[in-house]
Amino acid sequence: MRVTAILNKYYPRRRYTDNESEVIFKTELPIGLRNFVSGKGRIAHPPKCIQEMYTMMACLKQAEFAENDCHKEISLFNDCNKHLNKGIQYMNVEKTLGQKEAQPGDKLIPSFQLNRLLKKFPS
Amino acid sequence: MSIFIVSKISIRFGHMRYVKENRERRKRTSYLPWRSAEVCENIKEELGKPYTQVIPKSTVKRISETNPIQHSLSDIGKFYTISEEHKKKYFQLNGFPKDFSEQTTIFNENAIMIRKPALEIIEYLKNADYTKLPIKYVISMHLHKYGRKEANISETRNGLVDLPLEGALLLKHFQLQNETLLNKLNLKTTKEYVWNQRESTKVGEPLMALVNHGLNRVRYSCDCIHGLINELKNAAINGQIKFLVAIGGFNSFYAGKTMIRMDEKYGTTTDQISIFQSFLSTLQNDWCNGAIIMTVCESTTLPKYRGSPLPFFLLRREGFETLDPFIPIQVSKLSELEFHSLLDYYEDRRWLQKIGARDELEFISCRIPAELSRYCATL
Amino acid sequence: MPLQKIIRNFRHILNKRSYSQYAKSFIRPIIKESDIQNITESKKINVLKNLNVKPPQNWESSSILNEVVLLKFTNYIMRDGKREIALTQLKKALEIIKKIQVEQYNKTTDEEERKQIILDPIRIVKQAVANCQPLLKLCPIRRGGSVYQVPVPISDTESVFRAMKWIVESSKEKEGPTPFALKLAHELLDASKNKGRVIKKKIELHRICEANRAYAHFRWG
Repeated sequence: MRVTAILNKYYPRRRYTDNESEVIFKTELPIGLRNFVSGKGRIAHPPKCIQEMYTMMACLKQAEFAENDCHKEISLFNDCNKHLNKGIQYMNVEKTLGQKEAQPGDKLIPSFQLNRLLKKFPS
Repeated sequence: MSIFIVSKISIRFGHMRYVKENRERRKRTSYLPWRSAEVCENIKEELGKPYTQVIPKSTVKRISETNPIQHSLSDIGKFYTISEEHKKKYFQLNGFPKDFSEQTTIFNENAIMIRKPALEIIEYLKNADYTKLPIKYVISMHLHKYGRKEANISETRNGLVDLPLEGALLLKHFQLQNETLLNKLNLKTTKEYVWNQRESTKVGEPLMALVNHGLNRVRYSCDCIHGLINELKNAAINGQIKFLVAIGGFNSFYAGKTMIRMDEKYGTTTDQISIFQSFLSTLQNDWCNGAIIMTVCESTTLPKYRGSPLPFFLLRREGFETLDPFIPIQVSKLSELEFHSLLDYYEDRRWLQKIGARDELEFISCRIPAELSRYCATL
Repeated sequence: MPLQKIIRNFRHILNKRSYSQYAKSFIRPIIKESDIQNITESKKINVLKNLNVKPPQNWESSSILNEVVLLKFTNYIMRDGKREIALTQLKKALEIIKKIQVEQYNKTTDEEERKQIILDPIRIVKQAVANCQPLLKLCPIRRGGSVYQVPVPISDTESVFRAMKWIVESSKEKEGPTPFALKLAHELLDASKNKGRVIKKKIELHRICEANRAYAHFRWG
């Protein structure tokens, strides 16, 4: 026996009333734009450094994996992957002092700079 | 006859004790949070520069006088090199401490720093009551006390244990050092030694025959040593020679336990070893025209007898009473002059790679030579 | 001791600090003497002198005995938190390296040959680690029901970690009753000359990466 059809008739899951007065408007979050943004959103990176990797591998194969012969290719590959190496962070004075601010004409602004701007000029 | 004792004294300061206590406690530690990026940058920074060897600033003070008897108090801290001929003659088998002989191969020369205790002994030997010509015999002993050795029960002397291989080594050492002198002096045996029914050494044979017999028939080497020492003592009494006995790590005679295995059992004590007994006979006050020099050191005894460098603690009552009238000589820590000349030498031989940190090294090591060499090993 | 073991395993939970002792504006102290000299000469000092500085940790010092690379190395030699044993083993290895090099130096008479010998054992350790650093790593990625070993670029910190780990592992592997410090010393000396087992291991990894280069685009998508 198929129960779902019968039950749906008596306890419908999705019911939209035609009567407007039945709809109650609740404000669970404040209406309006906030004065800050969260830094969670990430941009999907396109495939990176794949060409450099191939040239390096070809060079290494030709030189029987002796790294001294492919200095140029290896340094190019390492320069491309610089974003992996964060370096020592404790000397980052600029960030703590906030010297580096968003410049007019910047297309990509990081979240901390945006927050600084929004704090200065709240909507 | 006069007896000298040399003891190494190392003074422990506050932070040294702290290190020792920490070692005993064996504290369990977690991984130190070294920033990995810091390590990476350190490596890159160092390898970015081309390598240049460190060039020492000051030169080593060396002494030109080759005869150690002529050294005086003004020469303290200078370096005296033992020539290769002398090394081959006197120290071919043993005689140098293990660490020092290792250093001679690394530094490619045998240099010793002149220090006060050695000058003190030479001064005493010079001014002692001698009437005859100064002819020296050097016996230096270097036995491995706690290793497993081949051992036999002595046939001639009851209740004693022979170490034939060690005895043969000692005889070989004696032969290398004193062969030319013995041939020149023409010493003869005064007693007949009967080894067994066929073999014997008769009266009037040269002393070298006794040594050679011990080397050819290794079984009788310990008895040969006993005979040799008695013969030398007799010769010294007659005034034919002057007899110098040098023993390193004398306190090991009173350590008690050994690792020598007899009949598949451990338990032979140091008093039962025949070589030790024959050397103890030199300490009796029945001969003249000679001197005994011995060293006392913590590292030559069992761990339970370590803790203080003073003679009474190391020799214990038994050893102290047999030696009793003796002259103690203290080997103190390095003076400021000696400290700097030693570091100059290390830099000259390229052993020390980080120069210009002498204040710190002085503070850490308290100018104790053993500690200093331990810290310099990794720098 | 089961209870102690449990406490040790969950120490990071028990000892977890929920807040930092210092505000975010505090900067880490500069410890090396040469760094301090460089900064005092540069313009950065005008910014730095008005900032608050954290105190140094108790393992940080400007002593000559303190070397960052060596203390990092001990972390990989150490077992059961016995740091002192690990450090003594490493120091013994350094001593053996220095003995070999200095002996070679003192025996050669030719001046130009002499200058090429590296005498500093810490420099040799750094050279060995740098030579053993891999350029790529293999990352297992699941595509269409099967797992592929995909070659992926490696960060500096991870490659240093790999190099140090390989050196320690290969010096433990060798047969015979030779002590660990001796094996470690010879392994480091070999690696600094671009020879030995660890270099072979690195080349093997590069070879597999080269064979799997067709999978490289699996990283995206």
